[in-house]
Amino acid sequence: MAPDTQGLQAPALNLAVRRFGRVNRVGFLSLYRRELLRLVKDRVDSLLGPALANLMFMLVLKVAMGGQQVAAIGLPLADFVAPGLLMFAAGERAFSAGCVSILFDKMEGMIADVFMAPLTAAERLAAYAGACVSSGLVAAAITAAVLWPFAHLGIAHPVALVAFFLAGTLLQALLGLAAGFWGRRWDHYAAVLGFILIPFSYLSGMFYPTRGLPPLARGLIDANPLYYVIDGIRYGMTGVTETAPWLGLLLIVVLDLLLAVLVYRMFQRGWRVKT
Amino acid sequence: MPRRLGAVNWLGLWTLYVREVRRFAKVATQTLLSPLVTTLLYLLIFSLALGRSLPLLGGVTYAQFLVPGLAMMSMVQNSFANTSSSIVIAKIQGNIVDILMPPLSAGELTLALAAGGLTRGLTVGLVTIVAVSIFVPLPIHSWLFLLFHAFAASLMLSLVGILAALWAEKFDQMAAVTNFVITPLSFLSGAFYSTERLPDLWRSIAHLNPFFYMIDGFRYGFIGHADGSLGAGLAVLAAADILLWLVTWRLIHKGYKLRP
Repeated sequence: MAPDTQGLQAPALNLAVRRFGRVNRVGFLSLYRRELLRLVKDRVDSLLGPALANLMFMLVLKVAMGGQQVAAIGLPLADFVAPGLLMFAAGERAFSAGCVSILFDKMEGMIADVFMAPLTAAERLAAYAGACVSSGLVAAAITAAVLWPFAHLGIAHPVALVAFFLAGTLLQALLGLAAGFWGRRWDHYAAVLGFILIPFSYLSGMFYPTRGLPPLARGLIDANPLYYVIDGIRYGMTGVTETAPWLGLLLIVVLDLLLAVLVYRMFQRGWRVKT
Repeated sequence: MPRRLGAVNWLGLWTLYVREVRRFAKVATQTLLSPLVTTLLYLLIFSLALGRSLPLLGGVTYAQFLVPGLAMMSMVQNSFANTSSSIVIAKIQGNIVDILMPPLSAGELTLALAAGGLTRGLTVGLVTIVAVSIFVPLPIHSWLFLLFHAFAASLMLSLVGILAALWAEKFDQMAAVTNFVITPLSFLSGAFYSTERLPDLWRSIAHLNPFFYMIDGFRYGFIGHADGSLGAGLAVLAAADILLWLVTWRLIHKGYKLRP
C-alpha cells in the first residue's frame, strides 16, 4: 500500500456533538497558552529590549542629576520614577501583545482558527486578556530585576500594589485588543502606540510630581487615567501618593469594565474580522 | 546590442535613491511625525523632571542643552532604520534581486542606499529642530559644525544600517542590533547630561562612544560649548565614515550574504 493512501483508511469519524460543561476549559487554556507562547518566542525583542530601554531611562536620569539630590514629593527621584517605569513596561507589553496578536492573525488570515473554535466570546476575551496581562506582569518583573540596583523597590501596601498592577495592566491589554480589532495594517498599530499609548504613559506624572506644574498641564494630567494607575503603584511601593488611591482604583476598575464590555462585543460580533 | 553606460550609471543610481526616499516618504506619519512626537515627549519629561533643579550649563538652559542631543539621537536612529529595514525586508521577501540584477556597481549601490538613509536622517533633524525651536529658542553658534556633524553622523549610521542588514538573516536579529547596540549607545552618549558631570573613569569610557562625538559637536554648533575635543570629534567622524564606507563597499562587492 502506498504510504499516501494511508490517510484514507482512517477509522470512521465519530461526529457526535462534543460535550463540555458550561465553560470550555480545554479550549480556553489552549488559547491562553498559545498567546503566552508568542511571548516566549519573541522574548528578546519583547522582554529584554524594553527592559533595557527602561534601564537606560533610569541611568540617564541618575547621571543627569549628578551628585545632586533631586527629590519629588519627599522621595529620591529614582524611587519616584521606578514605579512608573514598571507600569510602563507592563502596560506597553500588554497593549502590544493584544494588538499585535489580533492584527497579525487578521492580516495572515489565521484569525478564523480562533473564531471557528467552540469558544464563547467571553472565553475568547478571557483567554486573550489573561495572556496579555500575564505578559505584562512578566515584563514588569524583568524590568524590576534590571532596575533593582539603581532604585529602592519596596512594598509598602501589597494589596494596593497587586490591585493597581492588575487593573492597570488589564486596562492597557483591553485597549490593545480593541486597537487590534480596529486596525487593518501595521501602521495602525504603530499609530495607536506612538500617538496615544506612549504619550499618555509618558505624560502621566511618571517622571515628575504634578505639584508645581502650570494649571493647564496639571488639568491634562488629572484627566489621564494612567496617572491614577502610576500614582497607585507608587502608593503600593512607597506609601507616598499624590491622589486618593482607592478612588483612583475605583475609576480604573470602572474603565476596565466599560472596555471589557466593548471588547466583548467585538469578539461576539467579529467586528472587522468576519466579512 | 548591450546598452552602454558611462563610468557611472547615473540613471540607475538616481532611480534607486528615489525609491529609498519614497519608501519612507510614503509612511511619513511613522517616519517623520512619530520621531518628532518622541523627541517632544523626551524634551518635556526631562525638562520637567530635572530642568528646575539643574544649574545652567555654560550659560544655556537645560532644555537648550537637551534639544541638539535629542535631535541627533532621532537623526541617527532614523538613518539606521532606513537602510537596515530596506535591505532586511528585501532579503527576507526575496526582492533583493531587484537591486542586485540591474547594472549597478557595488559603489553605486552603497551610494544610493546610504544617500537614502542620509536624506531621512537630515529630514528628521530639520523637522525636529524647526518644530522644537517654537518652544525652545535655539542659538546658532557655528553652521560649519552643525552641518558637518548632521551630515557625517547620519551617513555613519546609514552605513552601519547597511552592514547590520547584510549580516542579519531575520527580523529578530535586526531588532537585537537596534535594542542592544543602537539604543544604549545613543542613550548613553551624553545627550541628556554633560559628561563633565561624570567621574573620571566613566568620562573616559563615555568618550570612547562614537555617538558622544556626534552629539557633542552638533551641540557645539548650536550653543558654542563642547564637553570633549572638537578636533577629535571631526577626526573620529570622518575616519569612521571613510572606514565604514570601504567595508560596506567591499562586502557588497563580494556579495556577502547577498549572493549564494
